[in-house]
Amino acid sequence: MDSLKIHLLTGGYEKHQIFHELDLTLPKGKFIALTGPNGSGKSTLLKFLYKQLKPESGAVYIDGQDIQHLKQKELATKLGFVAQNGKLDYAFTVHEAVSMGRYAYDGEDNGHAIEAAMESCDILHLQHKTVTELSGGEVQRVLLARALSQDGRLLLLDEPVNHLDVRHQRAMMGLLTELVKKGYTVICVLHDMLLVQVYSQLALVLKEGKIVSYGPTEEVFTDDLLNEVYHIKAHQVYDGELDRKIWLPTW
Amino acid sequence: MMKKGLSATLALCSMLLMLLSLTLGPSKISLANTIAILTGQEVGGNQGYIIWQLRLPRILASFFSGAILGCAGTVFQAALRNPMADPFILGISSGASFGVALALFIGIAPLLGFPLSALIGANLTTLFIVGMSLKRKSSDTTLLLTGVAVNYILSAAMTLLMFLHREQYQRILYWTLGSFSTSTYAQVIILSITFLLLFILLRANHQTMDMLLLDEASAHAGGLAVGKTRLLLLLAGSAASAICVSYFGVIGFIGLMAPHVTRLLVGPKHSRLLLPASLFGGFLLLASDTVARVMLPTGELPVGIITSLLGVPLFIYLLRKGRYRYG
Repeated sequence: MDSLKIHLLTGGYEKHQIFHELDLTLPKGKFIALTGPNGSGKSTLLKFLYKQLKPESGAVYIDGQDIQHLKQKELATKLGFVAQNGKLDYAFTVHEAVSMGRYAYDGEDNGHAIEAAMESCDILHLQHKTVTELSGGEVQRVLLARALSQDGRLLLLDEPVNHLDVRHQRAMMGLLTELVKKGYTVICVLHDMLLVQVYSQLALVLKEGKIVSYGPTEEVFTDDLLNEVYHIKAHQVYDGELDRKIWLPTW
Repeated sequence: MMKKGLSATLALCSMLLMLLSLTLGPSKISLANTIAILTGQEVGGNQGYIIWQLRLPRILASFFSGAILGCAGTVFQAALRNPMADPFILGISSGASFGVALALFIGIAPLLGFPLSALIGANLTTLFIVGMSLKRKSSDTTLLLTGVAVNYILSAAMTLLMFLHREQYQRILYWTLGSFSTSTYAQVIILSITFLLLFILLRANHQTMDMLLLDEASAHAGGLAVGKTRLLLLLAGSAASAICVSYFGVIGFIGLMAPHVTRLLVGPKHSRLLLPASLFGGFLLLASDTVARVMLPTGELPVGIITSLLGVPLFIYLLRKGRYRYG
């Protein structure tokens, strides 16, 4: 079943149109990487999905509903979002920061949802710490837990591992993979082509607001595509752990 | 973090300070006589008049004004995600006093009244500042510099009005310095109602204020209509500050200091922050006014001088510290 449908979306910023009649359907329960060069419209596309930007024409449908017809709080119960360079520069406790994901659920007993989200991200033991005391990797897990506590099945993440070391990148991507297995749909902006190939099931490649390629990640990544999009040469290497070949840039 | 009992401690300290402040002034009144007067007993001379008609309304007015400014500072700092934002620094208070001065100059002050003139001036300034800061996605420092520029422009405009309208010079000058010397019980009632309305509004929206501390995209995706909510809360804060300005002139830095210091003690969560920030604002302004009242052997200092002496060092410290953590 489809999770998300973008229908003839046209729009962008006040003086700069990014998308012209973008048409795309994304399935449920998949790890979808959104990639492309800087300025290709990846983060802008997410802004249309959580309604920070309004299309000039066209529409975005989540589970068949046009999100422009949903109140912001209603939409917040259908998705969760982790921002690019998301940081928490105020001394909330981890529990308080995660509970902010329940803002859309006025007056409900949120204890179970908050605890479940913290458990999924393995931060229950940190719940009484203030977020300003945490490492970068722990902060990303708090941000993901806050998004999860919104109880939507669609997760939007904008470069969630940008500032993390390899160990924490691996942990975060592993966590997202586990969530996909539990039925979540993950749409994740990623720059690192290695991470895209290792973790995503589907890849959507954008360039200057247009779809260059979309489909199963192994099929999307080709020498020609990397040359066309990034103007780089690439070569394939065999990864014994993954038991498949992956593309690497030729330095 | 010291969470429990802070509000009760501040309330108790404020009451003790009120009692102390009642005894201080050109006419020395002993604590025993003050308590006797407050409990309705007869005391000789005009001491009863001094306590009931001169000092008590002034003390209550300064306390409630401080509470309003503490509350307003809290909402400004949350809505603009800037720990250095307060109605004075951003020029909102100057906007309020300019509104009054302009209404006096063009002769519509009797029609509008000072509070409404101040409210219009303050809210127009708020709309301008918010428009500037949000349209251009300006940094914390740009926002503050915009406020400083607005302050300069409005100060120049006030000076021009004083120059053009010399017969109102004293009255206009009064609003630029800040003083509680003309406080009345009627003003105390308006101030206490204003404080209660602002506090109830903000308390009901404490989760919204927490959300405003997130980056805009996360707050939006979390269900908050960020732009509309931010503007409404800022207008409420600036309107309440304008009421204070219309009665007592521009009083700086209480809105900066009260939330800032309180946040260090109770953390950034607004359900815990609002009440102690208000009480501490009240305490600070009452203490400042008491000092301003008794510091000189004859006459008194404008209270704005005392609050600036307290607030400017904190402001410079925050600027030097650069990016600041809420809490």
